[in-house]
Amino acid sequence: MTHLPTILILLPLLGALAGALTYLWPTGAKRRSNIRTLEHSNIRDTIAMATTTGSVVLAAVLAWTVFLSLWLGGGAASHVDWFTWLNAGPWQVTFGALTDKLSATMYVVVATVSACVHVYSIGYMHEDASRRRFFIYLSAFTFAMLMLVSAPNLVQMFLGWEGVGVCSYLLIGFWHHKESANAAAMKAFIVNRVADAAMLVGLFLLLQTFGSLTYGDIFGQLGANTAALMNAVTPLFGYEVSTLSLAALLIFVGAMGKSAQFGLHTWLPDAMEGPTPVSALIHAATMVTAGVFLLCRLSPLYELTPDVLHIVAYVGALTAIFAATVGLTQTDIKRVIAYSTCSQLGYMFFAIGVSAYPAAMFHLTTHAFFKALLFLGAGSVIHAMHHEQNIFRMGGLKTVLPITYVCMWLGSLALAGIPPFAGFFSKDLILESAFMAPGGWAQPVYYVGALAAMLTAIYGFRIVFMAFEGAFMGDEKVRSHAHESPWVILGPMMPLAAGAVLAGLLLSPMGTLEWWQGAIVISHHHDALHAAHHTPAYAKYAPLLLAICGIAAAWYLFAEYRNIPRKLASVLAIPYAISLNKWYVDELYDLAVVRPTRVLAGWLYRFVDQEGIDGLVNGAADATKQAGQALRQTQTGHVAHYAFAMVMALVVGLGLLLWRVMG
Amino acid sequence: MFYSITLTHILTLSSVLLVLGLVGIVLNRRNIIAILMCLELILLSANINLVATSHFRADLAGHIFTFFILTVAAAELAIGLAIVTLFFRNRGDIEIDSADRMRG
Repeated sequence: MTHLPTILILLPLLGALAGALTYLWPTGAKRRSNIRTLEHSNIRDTIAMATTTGSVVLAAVLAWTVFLSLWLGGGAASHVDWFTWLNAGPWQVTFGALTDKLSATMYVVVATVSACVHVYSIGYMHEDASRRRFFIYLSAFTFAMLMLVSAPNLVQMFLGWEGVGVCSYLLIGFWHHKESANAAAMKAFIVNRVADAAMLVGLFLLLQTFGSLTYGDIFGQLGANTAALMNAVTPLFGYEVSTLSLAALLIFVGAMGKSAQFGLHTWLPDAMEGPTPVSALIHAATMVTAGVFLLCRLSPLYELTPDVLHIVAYVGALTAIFAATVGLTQTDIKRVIAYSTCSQLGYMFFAIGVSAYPAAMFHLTTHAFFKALLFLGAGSVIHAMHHEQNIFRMGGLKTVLPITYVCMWLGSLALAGIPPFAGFFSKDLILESAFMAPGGWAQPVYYVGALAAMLTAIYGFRIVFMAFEGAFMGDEKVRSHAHESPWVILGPMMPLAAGAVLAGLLLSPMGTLEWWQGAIVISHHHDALHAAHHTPAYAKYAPLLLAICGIAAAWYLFAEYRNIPRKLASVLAIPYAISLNKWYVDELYDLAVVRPTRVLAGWLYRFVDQEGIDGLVNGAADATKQAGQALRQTQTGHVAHYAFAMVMALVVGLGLLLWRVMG
Repeated sequence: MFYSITLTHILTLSSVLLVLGLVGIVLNRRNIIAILMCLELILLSANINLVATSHFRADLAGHIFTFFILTVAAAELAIGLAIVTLFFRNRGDIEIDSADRMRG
């Protein structure tokens, strides 16, 4: 039993490696005809798909075994050491697998969604010539993500953190012949570099303060010398700031990058350039939640830095409302869902901000199911519509795609937080915790969250109604070819649909601190979670009421009277433009960061690189060339000249010798 | 009567031969064979020096050295002539001024 986590973490890696080995199989393309080569390539593809999908499905089964044995079987948290990676005197980094409720929950989320996405991809990617590469990347991602969540120390966590970043880059840019996909991949990577730089500094600070990056050591010292550590200060630009707060803030900035919080969110909507299964797995269910997971994992640290928690709460609330307003006007079905992801991650962060870590993890889990379902449903629509992603060229698809339609309804109901669907339980718990946070400081966050909940319902059902209800608005030729997806695509959506319906009910113990068995620590000074039980009825039911109003409004606007939104847009031109242009964040960054950097880089290239460095190197080469040119004149090639030189040298030499001897 | 021949006379002769050889090499612009002959002249002047000094010092070592030098000179000349032959085969003449392929 103790080795089950190790096996389930390594399985996706083995699958990916086995898939990668098929590239060593000689193709024989030169000798055989093209048709034979294609057949061979199919065999290789099948092997790669079988190994990767098989290993991840197996990992999912093991993940559920581990999770259920921890939860229902009464198992205790386990910790397996694999090997010592670094041994630098008193500082050691030992890789291993820490399996407590927190990581076991993540195993289940990651492996389950990954398994569904692998199977789904067999159908979705069946026409793609390089689908083998796709599956290998997917499995490698799964491995990196499992490394991240199972890590017993921050070094291994960071390795997984960067590993998922690389796989995300590779998968966003999977269709590398598309320039926009390449640009999006680079954008994701670069924005995450900014965040990771902050995160690295935070980790260094922790290492300097605690002399270790192992969770156990850090939390042990936090418990033992709480007062001394809280008073520790670090000089920063002439000020003395609390070391713990600074480290916590820097790590939060790292988490903001990975989890697409406002300011560092710009890469997530662009990441939709990747294939839809990638969006479902990486950019909805797992990788983007890594930041939430990390903050929950570090809850003993964040509990000592209430000022940072306030920042986390405000950033989360800002992201939730920002992404919700942008989601209202986007036309690309995947971009709407991407902004919805962004917004839901905002909810999770403000749950963390009010110390309701269990609520954040609960929402992370339920969100993984319904958001992956929504993405896979969107993928099914896109697949049926021959890569049409604009919801204004869809409509009336419920007769064509009945099963997808039902799945999208379930996913959207869960997203909007309608009982008894999954999102209701977790989102309500988050909002109640915010409302009841001790001192009431987080009540503004609650109101923002409640408003965002209504917007969530509107944009969530906007895509359902625009795509599936009313009259068809696109090309008739596309509609006549549209068809319900095959079962290899619909099948994997079923477990996720079940999760979207049932996860909230079944996993509701996750919303309590006791369930986590010490994996999460909440200081009794700001125990919002406990207080949330006593939320007044109006605060408890307002979000639900708002969500229902949102759905009704969405029905009215996007199914019944589709010309009203256009009139609204022209009346409210300025808010509409702000929302449509995503609050002009990209434009601001372009103006403030990208263009100055380009100008500076161009200047450096022209004057420093070309004229300075190249000038130096080319100058040296030119000087050598000129000197050689001058010296070659002395080599006439005439024997007589050489002989004369020799004689003269002899005469002069002998003369000098004689002069020396005589003198 | 006859002046008796002293070492100075012989050394003067060898110096004249040496200078003749050197001038022959430097001023000759046409014929490689002539250069080879001039080289022999220089070696000869060295041989005369050796023989003369060994005679006047009553030491046989100089004579023996001379034989060695003659042998080496013969071998060297053989190689030189072989080079000239090859050169002629490749270029069709043995003009020194035309052998300037190595000019800068």
